[in-house]
Amino acid sequence: MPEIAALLARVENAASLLPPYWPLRSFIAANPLQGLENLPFEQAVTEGHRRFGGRAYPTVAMARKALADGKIDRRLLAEAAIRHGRPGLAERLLDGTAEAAEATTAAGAERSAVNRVLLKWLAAFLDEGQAAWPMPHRELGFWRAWKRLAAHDGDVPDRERLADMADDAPTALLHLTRTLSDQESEELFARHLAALPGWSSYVKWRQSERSHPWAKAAPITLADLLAVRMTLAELTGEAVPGPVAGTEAEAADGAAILEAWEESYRRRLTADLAARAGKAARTPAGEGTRPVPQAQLVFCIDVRSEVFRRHLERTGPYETLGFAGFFGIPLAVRAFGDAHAYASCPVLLEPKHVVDEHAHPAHAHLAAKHLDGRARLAGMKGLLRSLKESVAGAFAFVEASGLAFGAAMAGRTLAPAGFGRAVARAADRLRPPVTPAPRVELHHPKDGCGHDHDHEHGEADPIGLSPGEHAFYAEAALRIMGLTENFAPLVVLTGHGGATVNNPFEAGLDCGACGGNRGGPNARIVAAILNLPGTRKALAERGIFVPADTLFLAAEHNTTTDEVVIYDPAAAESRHPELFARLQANLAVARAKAAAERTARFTGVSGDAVRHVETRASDWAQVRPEWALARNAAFIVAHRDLTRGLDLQGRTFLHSYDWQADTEGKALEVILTAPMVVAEWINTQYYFSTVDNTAYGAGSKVTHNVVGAFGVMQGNASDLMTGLPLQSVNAADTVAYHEPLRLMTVVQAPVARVDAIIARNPILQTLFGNGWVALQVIDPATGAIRRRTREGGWIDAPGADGAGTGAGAPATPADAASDTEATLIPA
Amino acid sequence: MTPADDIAFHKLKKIEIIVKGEKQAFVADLLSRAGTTGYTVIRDVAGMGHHGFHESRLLFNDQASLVLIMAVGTEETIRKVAAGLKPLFEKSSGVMFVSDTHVVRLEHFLKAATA
Repeated sequence: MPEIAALLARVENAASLLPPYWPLRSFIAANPLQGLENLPFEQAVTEGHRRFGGRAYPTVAMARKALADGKIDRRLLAEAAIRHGRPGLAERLLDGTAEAAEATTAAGAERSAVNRVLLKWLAAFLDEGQAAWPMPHRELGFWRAWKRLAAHDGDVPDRERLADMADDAPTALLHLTRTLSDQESEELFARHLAALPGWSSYVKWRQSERSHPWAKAAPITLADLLAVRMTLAELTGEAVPGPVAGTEAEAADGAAILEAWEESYRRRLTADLAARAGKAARTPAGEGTRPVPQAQLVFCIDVRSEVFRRHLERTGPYETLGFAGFFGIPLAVRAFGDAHAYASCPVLLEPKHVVDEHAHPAHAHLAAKHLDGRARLAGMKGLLRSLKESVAGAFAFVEASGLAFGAAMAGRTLAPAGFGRAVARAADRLRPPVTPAPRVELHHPKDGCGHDHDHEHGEADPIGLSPGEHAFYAEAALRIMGLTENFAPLVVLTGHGGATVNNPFEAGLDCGACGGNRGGPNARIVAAILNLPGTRKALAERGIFVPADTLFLAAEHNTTTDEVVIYDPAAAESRHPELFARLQANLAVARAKAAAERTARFTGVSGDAVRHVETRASDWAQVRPEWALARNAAFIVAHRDLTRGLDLQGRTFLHSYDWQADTEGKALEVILTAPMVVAEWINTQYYFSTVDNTAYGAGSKVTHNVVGAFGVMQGNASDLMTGLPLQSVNAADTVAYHEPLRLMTVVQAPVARVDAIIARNPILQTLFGNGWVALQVIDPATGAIRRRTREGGWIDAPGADGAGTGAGAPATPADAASDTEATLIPA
Repeated sequence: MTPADDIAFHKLKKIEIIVKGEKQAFVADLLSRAGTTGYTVIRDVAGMGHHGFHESRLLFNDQASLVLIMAVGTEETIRKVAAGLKPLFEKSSGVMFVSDTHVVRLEHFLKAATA
């Protein structure tokens, strides 16, 4: 029926407002208001408040503290307040009267009867192996399975009416909306979906993931969800929650505070960069005069890399670069011994290649023992779990094993680091550690291991990459990061991952560019490709000459403990023993310094920093293993020369870029349309999780309840919490640690090039034009810094004159006459 | 008589749809529900539209780049597809073109619709 096709389009439209959400195991940061990015920021946050009840701007308490700490410049605040028609805001903040205008936050899911019933059924249906007794009939799909079982649910009134409803969810929906116009239906769908936005978002994700392991066992669509919810609403007579009201005064105060806070940070950064840029422009670039460093280390653009890079560079003649931590290949990795491949690339990309790992030749003799030990460990875990969950067995099990579990609990609690090491040693005995090595050449999955693996990309597909693909990705990666000459003897591709125990948000500490996975496997694969003689030859044909004695190495930076582990040290030791030994020693020095810097950001910590971060990583009661990307505020696309030596306080994403080598702007286009977009997702997630941790964040970890092995609820029934936990953004219950500022991108390139790229990419017009990201460009020829207005004009960047914050607020640009902040502060 | 004279051309409708990569799954579902038996996807297409020129080559971003999806079916089937796209284009950018086309193996393009 064409009506159903149209109805499903209405559902799709209604769902476009939902926050993007991925299951916890691949926790991906995203803008909860992504569906509203087509609106100017101010309108989007107001609409977000209306739809989801979330706050739009930093609270008065946050602003007061920032003002007291000097993070908001008082003069800038006064100026911003006047622009927003709220003079005297700073005074009101300080004397405590500003709270009067601040409405209380609408918190979380409404405690409605419909929600209570729906939550129960959604949690049961969507369960991904956590429940001991799964819901029956799930293979029929959510609507059909629910219709069958809800007939026995005492919480559903008039449930005998269910039998008369259509078996097909879209047909049932068509019936439920029969009296409404198309537009009315769409609005109603949007409101029903927004009643539990977290759960709706997860259903949206599940619907889009055809290859999801549970897609066949428990298929669910948004039409299913809406059919169930709207049926429940009809049976209970409960109205769908309406829009939440906000006050204009609150919005004006909030906008002024945000603007002043952002400007205070941005002008300081701009002044720092301006000093560097001016000097660079005055120094003529002497080609070939740059000394070859002892090693080049490529880190992820992640803000956490900046701290480590800065400390490492101080230890010796090292050059560090920033690049998206998946190193540029849209990969799915089948880890050693695993049956399935997992996507290890940004979620913006579909994996286009599968690479499998096997045991490193040096460990080949341990491979069989490792796999056997792994199977036995998995069997033991399964047995323990079934004993715990069996109704009869549970009692005897506790009697028999209580003492052992008690001892383990004491160990974990009293000496987490030591206990962690002991457990690892015991596991290593049973399952000797094997270093994996990727197989990057194109081959048939049957090759080498004697049996076929059932993997998601079709059993017979060849895996690995062809020589042409090796050359393509190698060239792209090197050109985009601007590393096309002056290669050091050692080039270390450094992926990253966090370390934590007993933490459902574990993946949130890993590499966002790898889809919430550890970046080490990607580094290993790309390093292997760059070391292939065929790749080197092809690169030379394309004008990139990598010296024969240059060795690409893979490593992983543990962002929780700041340890950098280099894979395959034997290769480095045999080729460049002295350089490698020195590098290892300097990595340890940098680690101690970086750990000390990061440890100082935790409250009440003293003593040995390295020991402290190691304990944090293994403590099962630790709610904050690291600060992760908190306080991120800028994205700098430039040669490291511009920022080397500057203390950027772990707040900036750093992407390397050589404007001279990229004459057509292709590399810059990739950087702005992908890594910058991911940075914007991360930045907005931190922003919204901070300004309203209940509506947009995940609430306190202390009361989290993992549901279905994919998400968390607060307590035993709540909306699925989609953002960051309170402990990731706050230093204490009511004290924010993250500074909620929108991202400012700084690009070192000619303005005309940046303009041309924006003109052909609507995604950039949206982000810059609607104020989600501010853009500054450093003209490499003059060192002048220009800021783009939302309307697309360019003005001198405030702060670039070295006046820093406060002094010299910019004059109103003639081309920006709207009533948004673009009038004076071109965001 | 040559073998070519034996071939009969069967008249069907062809729909060409250009949407953002993020809407590809929706279109694929719609085509399948409407009863098309398959479709062709051309990724990373470039062009000029209401939102200005749209670049094709986004190396690291599939979602923001445009895809062209082509399918062939009976007029009834293609009408269903168009009915599902019209409301979609109220909220997200995209275009569709419907034209007459001919196929040789008619049975290849016919299937009972599920919607």
